[in-house]
Amino acid sequence: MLGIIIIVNLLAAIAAFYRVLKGPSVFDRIAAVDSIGIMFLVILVFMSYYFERQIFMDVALVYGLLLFIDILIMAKYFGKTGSESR
Amino acid sequence: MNDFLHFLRVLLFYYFILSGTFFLISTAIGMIRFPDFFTRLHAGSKCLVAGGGSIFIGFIIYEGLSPVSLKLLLLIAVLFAINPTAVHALARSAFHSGHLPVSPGQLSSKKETGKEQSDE
Amino acid sequence: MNNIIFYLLLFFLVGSAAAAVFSENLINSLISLSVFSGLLVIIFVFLQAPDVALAEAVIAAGITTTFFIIAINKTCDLEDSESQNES
Repeated sequence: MLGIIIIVNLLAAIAAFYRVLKGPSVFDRIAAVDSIGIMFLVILVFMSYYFERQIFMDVALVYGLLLFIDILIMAKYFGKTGSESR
Repeated sequence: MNDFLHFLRVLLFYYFILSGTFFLISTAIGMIRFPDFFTRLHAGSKCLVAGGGSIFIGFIIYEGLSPVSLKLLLLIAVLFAINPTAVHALARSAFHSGHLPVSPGQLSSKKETGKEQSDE
Repeated sequence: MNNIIFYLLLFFLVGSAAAAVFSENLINSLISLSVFSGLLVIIFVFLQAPDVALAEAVIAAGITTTFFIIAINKTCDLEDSESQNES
């Protein structure tokens, strides 16, 4: 049952990757990367219970904190260059 | 009695997991089908926090009272703090760089307006 | 069940790597690289190596993407690359 739910969440992440490939602007791609990252966070928590090892929860915590820095720096720098070019 | 409590716990666990999976699938569909950038951001903000929080609450119910449960509670607090902040920074940056929301009259001819906005 | 999850992960990994390599704009390539590094963390967790996954999450998802963003923003002229991509 947990394996089927992992497969469904992975298919949802693949479907959201379509917006990364064909976004009209840069900000669409960054929003899609944000949603894909939180789907990956959910998949990491699922795998901690799928393999029954509790160490895997720390990887999810570290990845969630680093995703925030990633999205924030992308939004800051790409927004500044976008405002200069227009 | 103890067996019944275990059955109830597993039932509640699967209820929260399936509702969270539904929210994540609706996030993916909204990310593909919505016409504008700000509507896509709305799908990525609300449904994502609801789905992730629901799934983590389900795992807390399944786990009981343990250190792993405390770690999941920290993960819920992180998710509720960082995702609105990141989405707000993204929307502010996009609004200052010239993106404007599509008005409701333009939604009937959304493909033409999308091409016009991408060409500018 | 394990085989299906693993093949799906590898398919997604190859797709995101191809999107990072064959994209013509540098910003789009960088955004695809972020997805690639997050997927690599899941594959290391799937292969029962949590310490390598922790190092991968710190290095690839955090430091490499941030350094590439700042370096591209300081050196490359983004306006020319976007105009070449649209024409």
